[in-house]
Amino acid sequence: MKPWWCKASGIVKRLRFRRTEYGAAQVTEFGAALFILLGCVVLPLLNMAIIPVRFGMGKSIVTAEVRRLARSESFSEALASVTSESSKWQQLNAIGGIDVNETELSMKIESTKTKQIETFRAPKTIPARVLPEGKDSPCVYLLDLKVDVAIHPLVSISWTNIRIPGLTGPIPIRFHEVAAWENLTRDPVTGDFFLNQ
Amino acid sequence: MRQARGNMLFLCVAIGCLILVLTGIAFWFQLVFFSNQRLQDSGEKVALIAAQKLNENDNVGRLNNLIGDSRELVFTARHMHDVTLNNPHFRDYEKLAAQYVEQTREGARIVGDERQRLVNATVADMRKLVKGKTTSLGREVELFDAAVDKPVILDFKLGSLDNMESNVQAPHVVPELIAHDQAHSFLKRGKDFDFYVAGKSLKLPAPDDDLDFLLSPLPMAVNESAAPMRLVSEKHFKPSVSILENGNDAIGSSMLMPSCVQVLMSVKMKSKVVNGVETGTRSLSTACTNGALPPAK
Repeated sequence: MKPWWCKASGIVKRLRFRRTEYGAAQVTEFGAALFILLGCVVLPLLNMAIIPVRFGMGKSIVTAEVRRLARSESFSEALASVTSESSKWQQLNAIGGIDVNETELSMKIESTKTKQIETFRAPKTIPARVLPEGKDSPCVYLLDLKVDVAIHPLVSISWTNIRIPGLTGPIPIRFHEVAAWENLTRDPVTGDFFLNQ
Repeated sequence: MRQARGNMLFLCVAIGCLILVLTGIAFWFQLVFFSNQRLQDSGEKVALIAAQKLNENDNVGRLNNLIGDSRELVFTARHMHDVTLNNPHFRDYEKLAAQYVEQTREGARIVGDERQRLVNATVADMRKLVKGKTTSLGREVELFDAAVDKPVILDFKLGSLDNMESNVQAPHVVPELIAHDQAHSFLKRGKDFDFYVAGKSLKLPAPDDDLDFLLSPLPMAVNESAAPMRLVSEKHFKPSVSILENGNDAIGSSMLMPSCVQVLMSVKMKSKVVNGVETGTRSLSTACTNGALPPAK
């Protein structure tokens, strides 16, 4: 009686014979199958593979941008920097394939006493109670930046009206990053906090 | 039959290579983001460490106040001397008043020299700090097919912010001096108090106009609260001394105490598989030192 491994090697031999002589030969020669594999699987995957790369680069730029904005002298300067057309996300646009649609900058203040989170979108609107030395202070001051972008795949093919995000059209994505506000000092000229100017 | 086997093998090898290349590219990008973030953190750390040393123990704030007080002393001493000259009742005290004027003038010179000594000592400290930091900045990182070198400091500059003035408040008790300073635009009007501008020689009226009173820029205490140390926007930075330029030591000094530090750091990434493939990233960080303490009442 043959041992079990001899039987197993026989099965493997038979399988290998079948796969190499018939199965594999048929696949490589089957041009249509190869075309479908490349056209419907490999190329769309490659087309979409650029999206995570662009997403990573975009997120990295938005993170750096919110950190840069958080170092502004005043809240109004940060707002002006975001809304000014000259500096509007030049880096994001430079990557290519990322369209910046909308940006929103706000100041998020969380009181460590009351645990209440408030959002302010304009300078001179922050009440004295949540400013440093206010009755609800100490507070955490975070600059909150939301950027709505559309990330395109490598090649956008739009042969039909059906738009599949990431395949035949861009994917709408919102980058949302926060950074701690740096300037917590008062302006000696006005006596107000730069945070609220 | 042999041809078909060869095609299958070729297809497998090609797909395997493609997967390897894609994985390599993914790791490369991941490492670029990671090293950029790491570089930014290192730059901020170096800038904050250096900024902390600029006004340690409120040295700059106290020296500024000393210069302001010394200036006021020279002005009042001269005023007193003028009174002894013009008023016959006090003419006997003229020699004493002249001696007092000389002493205050000598005091002003000593304070001026001390300011320069402090500036030079701080610049020397910064040079030491930069030398120390260039050898201890992180370590190399390797991931799959890419390697990241140690971050290096390219530029290291000292300076101040463009809108920053001194921490010295205008004296309340000498109206003549205030009038003189206002006439020469030495004072800036504040909500609660007026304060002196920085970086301008605050000349006194003749014959004391040979003395230089230079105040260094420093965030002032408003409402009894001192300004904390912080990272600032690079667009407001005004350089005064370069410690390092393009990785080389730079020679230079300043008349004023710097209150901000700007550090430009870079890191290089290399491919371990393909020779000559390398990229780099840079990070600019600026930090401002802590402000002056509130003046003692």
